Amino acid sequence: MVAPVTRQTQGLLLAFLGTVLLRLSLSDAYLRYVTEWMKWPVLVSGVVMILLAIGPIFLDPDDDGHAHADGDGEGHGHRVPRVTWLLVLPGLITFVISPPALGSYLAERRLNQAAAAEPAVVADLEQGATTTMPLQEYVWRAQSGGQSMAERTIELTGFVTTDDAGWYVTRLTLGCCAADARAFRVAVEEGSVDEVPAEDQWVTVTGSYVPGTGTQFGQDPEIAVETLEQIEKPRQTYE
Amino acid sequence: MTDSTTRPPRQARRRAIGQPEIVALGVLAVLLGGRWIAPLLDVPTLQTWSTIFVAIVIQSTPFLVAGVVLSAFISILLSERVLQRVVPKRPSLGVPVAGMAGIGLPGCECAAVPIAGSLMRRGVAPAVALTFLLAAPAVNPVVLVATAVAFPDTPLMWVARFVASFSTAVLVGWWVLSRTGRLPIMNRAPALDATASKRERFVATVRHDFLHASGFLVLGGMIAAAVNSFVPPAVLDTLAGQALVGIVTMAFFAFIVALCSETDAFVAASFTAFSDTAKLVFLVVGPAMDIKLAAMEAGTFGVPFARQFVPVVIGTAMVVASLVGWWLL
Repeated sequence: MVAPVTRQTQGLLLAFLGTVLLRLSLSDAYLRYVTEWMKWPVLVSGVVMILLAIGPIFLDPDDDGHAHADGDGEGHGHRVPRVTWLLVLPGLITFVISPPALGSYLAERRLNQAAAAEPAVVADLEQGATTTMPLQEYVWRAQSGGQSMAERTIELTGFVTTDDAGWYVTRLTLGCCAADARAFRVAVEEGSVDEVPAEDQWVTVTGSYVPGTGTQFGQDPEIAVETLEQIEKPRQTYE
Repeated sequence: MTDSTTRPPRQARRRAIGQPEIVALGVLAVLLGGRWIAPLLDVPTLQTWSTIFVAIVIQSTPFLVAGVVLSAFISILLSERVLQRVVPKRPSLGVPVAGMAGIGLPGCECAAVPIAGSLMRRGVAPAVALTFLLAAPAVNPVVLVATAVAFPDTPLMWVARFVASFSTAVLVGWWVLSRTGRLPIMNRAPALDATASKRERFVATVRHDFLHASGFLVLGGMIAAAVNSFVPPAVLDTLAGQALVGIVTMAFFAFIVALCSETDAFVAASFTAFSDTAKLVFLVVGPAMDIKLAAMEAGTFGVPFARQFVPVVIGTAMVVASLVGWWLL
């Protein structure tokens, strides 16, 4: 049904996937899929795969023949499982679809499912100054009662999601890769902004915490927006 | 399995245009034609699927590469003397030792499969190697710290996870030991040229192990990404209500979403509708067995082996995690 993968083709598949990994890690494209620190592991494994491909493609493409005595009596020798063909898929998908960073579609599916993690450093917010903080921290501070944000000006950056109740500044957080993305959102207080930006538009807002909102898990904290700026999609879309 | 008698004659592969050329041309055609194909695929669901699929592959590949390099090291370069000193002679004792050894190797489950394979190749009892395979991704410090961080209100969760995962690994190891000789483990060693240098054999082993696992990793990634992007979240919420249904659901969910063990705690914590015990089941089943691991193990150790090993691991993990959860949480 499916042809076995010949040795030279094995080399091609390895080289192709290796090239894809190299290309992703050398541009910023890898940030759509994995966290920042994965750059070097991805780069190194791309190089290793290209090196592994040299033998089968150039040096000994016909090595297939000698491998009958395999020790387990099955005689499959150099044959690799036919699912090895699937190795071509990640590369094709990466180049053709060029899968975008996750946005509102996934955020809606993951809404408020995740518990906000306590930030590594919980600093007191300076009065009179604008503090920029991750959305997850905002949600966490609200869930811890919200007192730490009272009467402070806070800046948040995220993309726009909407539902029947209003609109939200939303951000996705990666644990290790896009498969475990968690969504956090902060509701924009009704009436504080005249015109709602388009879904998936990136925005930076400053404003103040609306006391008493989002103190319980599953409840959205609100922000009374003072300034709203539409921005370009940032280099790193995840928190 | 293809029998050796059905192998195509060698001349078939020597034609001017053979399989590699066709594959290269096909890939090139898709890449060049991509700009006409891409608009047809511009659907949020499909894009989300492809992002998650590519993410799983990219995240796992470096761990798999590290795993196959380490496994080739064990297969080819590690001296017999060192190996004998490290691994206890009696397998029944070796099983818990292998479980404890898992603490020392922080890594993802993808790396553990080829390492277990190479340990067996070097004559380590399958029970010992498989215990290591189950323990390493689940009980290492990175995973336990992540669990402690994800469950600030349930401080015993990481302890429960350690106890349950370690016990699962050891119990399954003893089960494998009790079935020695009857469990159909196939361990495909690369056919190495006896005249080849150590370096050549090392490279051949790395490539062999990578090719035998990576296709299954891609397959598992495809399925896990589909679950992540197509199954409506509401379906899960309705299942969370009852204790037993919740436990079975979480075990099933851990199997099909195939998260890496270092972050699954954050996802588990987010299933607020489920009981703590059900969450523990998720954390114990996930690193021990998921769809991508099952596929890789079928590829590395053979389908008949996986057909017995996979259900036993899932069953043991569920029962142990439920008991530990009932006791500690």
